[in-house]
Amino acid sequence: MNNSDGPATVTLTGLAPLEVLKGGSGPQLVWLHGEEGQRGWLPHHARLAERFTVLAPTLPGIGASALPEWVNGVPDIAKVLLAALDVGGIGNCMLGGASMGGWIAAEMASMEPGRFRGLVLTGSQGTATGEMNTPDLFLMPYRRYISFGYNDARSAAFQDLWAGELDDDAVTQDLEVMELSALLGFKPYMHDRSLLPALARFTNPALLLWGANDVITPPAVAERFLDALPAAELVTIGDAGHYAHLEKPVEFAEAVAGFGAGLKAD
Amino acid sequence: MFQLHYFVNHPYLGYPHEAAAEFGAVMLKFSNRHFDGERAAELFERYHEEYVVAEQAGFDSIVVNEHHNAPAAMSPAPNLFAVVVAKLTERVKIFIAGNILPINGNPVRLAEELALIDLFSKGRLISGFVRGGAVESLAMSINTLHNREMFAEAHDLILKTWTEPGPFVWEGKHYNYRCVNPWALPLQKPHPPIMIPGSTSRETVEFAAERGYPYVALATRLEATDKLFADYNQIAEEHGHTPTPAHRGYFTRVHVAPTDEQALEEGREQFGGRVAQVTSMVDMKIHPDVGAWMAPPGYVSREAAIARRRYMGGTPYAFFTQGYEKALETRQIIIGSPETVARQLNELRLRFGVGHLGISHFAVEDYGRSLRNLELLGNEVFPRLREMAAGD
Repeated sequence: MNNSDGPATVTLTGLAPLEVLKGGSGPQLVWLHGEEGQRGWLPHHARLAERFTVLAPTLPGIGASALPEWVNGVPDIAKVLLAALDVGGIGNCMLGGASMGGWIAAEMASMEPGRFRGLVLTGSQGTATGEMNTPDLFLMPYRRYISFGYNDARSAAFQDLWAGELDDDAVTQDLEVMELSALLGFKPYMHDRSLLPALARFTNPALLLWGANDVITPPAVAERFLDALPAAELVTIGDAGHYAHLEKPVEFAEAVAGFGAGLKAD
Repeated sequence: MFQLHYFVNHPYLGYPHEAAAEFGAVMLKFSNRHFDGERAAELFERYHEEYVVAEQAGFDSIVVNEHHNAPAAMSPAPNLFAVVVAKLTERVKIFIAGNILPINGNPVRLAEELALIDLFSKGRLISGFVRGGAVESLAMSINTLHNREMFAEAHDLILKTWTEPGPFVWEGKHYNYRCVNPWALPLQKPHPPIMIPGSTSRETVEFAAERGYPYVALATRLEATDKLFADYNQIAEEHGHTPTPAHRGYFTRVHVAPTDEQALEEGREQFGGRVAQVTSMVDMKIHPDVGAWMAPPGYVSREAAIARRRYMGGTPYAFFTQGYEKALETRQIIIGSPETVARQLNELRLRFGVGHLGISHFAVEDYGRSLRNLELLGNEVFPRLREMAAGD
């Protein structure tokens, strides 16, 4: 794990204790990981931290973040996260997330649209692809699924993070994220029919930042978010797959920074 | 107490083995384009005929089970088989081994169906409940994370439905009913016997032992079986039960022929290349996702999953075919003359202290051999076995 520019770790206890990695300076950006997990302070965090105060919660059920027993879906997780933001006095901020984390971010934005100045979704889950040939997280080995989320699984970006020896922490987190993913997205598979209609409430700017070669949530999925969000733009990152933030952290962070710079001041 | 059970898997025989070898698995996503209805209809006629032959051979029960998306067992609805057994036979118990509670969806409706089977058969139902293999949950898109909880809650609800007068309300974590009050209830009182089949999962052994339900080990490896019955006995006693042979069962695959030599030769024919069709194993490449189909999230405890992932390095663990000799030596199949088979089955009976022995055909491919197997079991193996059991 790359913890070189080690962030601070804070715990925000709203409905349940939530661990948050915090680093950088500037406007606040809350960034949510998805089923790829919270694998340390990674290059995309470090790049974002050059322009933002990055707040990266570890999702409930993973690591030190507690999963209340009543949580049974993305709306419940969204409530846990919103309560933590309340406690941390975090508002009028940017919000974003990748994959399942994008789905959670979108749900939070639909619940409290006024709280977030801008929304960034990368390879967001939350709407059905309805296809048999998109990789299914629950029908293949976890790290094989992750490999489909890269344009090039032979690249250092993939190999460094995923192909090494599995230590106990990595094994444990693989299981924790799989179990959380099953809790939130086993059925219906990684979507909620109410998400896109409810996003009509989010009238602030949204950036759909997609890997051009995403085969898990193909660009057609981004188009659906584009139609559903009143003020969204779609930007694709070349030679990147589903986890564009992991595969192309520099391009990813630049796009987010550009989007953030265009938002109205606080 | 000693009972003999005839386990029918209802396999589909004759799908293209090359297609399975090419795909690398014979389950879940192995395409049903290889299914032929004419062939299946013929096979079901055969299997239904076998229920009757097995009753005549002296078995105490016919055992049916539930599987999905796999040619090894065309048995998506065990209660339908149970009805056929009820109407074709007079004496044998009907042992459903078992309904997969977590994927059934509606425990009250299941309690009703089982009551009907008990009524249709004049009280011959043995109701087995299982968690099912993980692939069964995946085939039905039922969240594997909740498998163990749903199993326990569905069991509790079915038991209450059978034993407490309705109407009553059920507000559980996974099931909610405002008016449980089915009119038709089982004939057997307080309820049909419950048995728990399993294949060594510690949680299932605990579930059975804590409640004093008989546990039936399904063709498990011998050392693992020793351990699980030791655990079963200890847990049962801790919960105030006194385990007897009636609480323990072991099911295995058997092929009998007039002589050892003939039986071993016929067994070898069945084993060679065709073992895939009866065990869901393939001997060529393995589909890269098979390991994940066997252990989806939450299906086993966190501790077991960590141990497995550490051991396997996160990659699918290999399915493998052991050699024929090895399978014989480790008693994963019991093959021989009536005398040999009776002796080996009796050894298993004594080793595990089981009051229930279950038998399924090993040589399923050839119907003539299946029928002869049943006939030899009835005429020559069972008398020997029962005599040995009487001498304990």
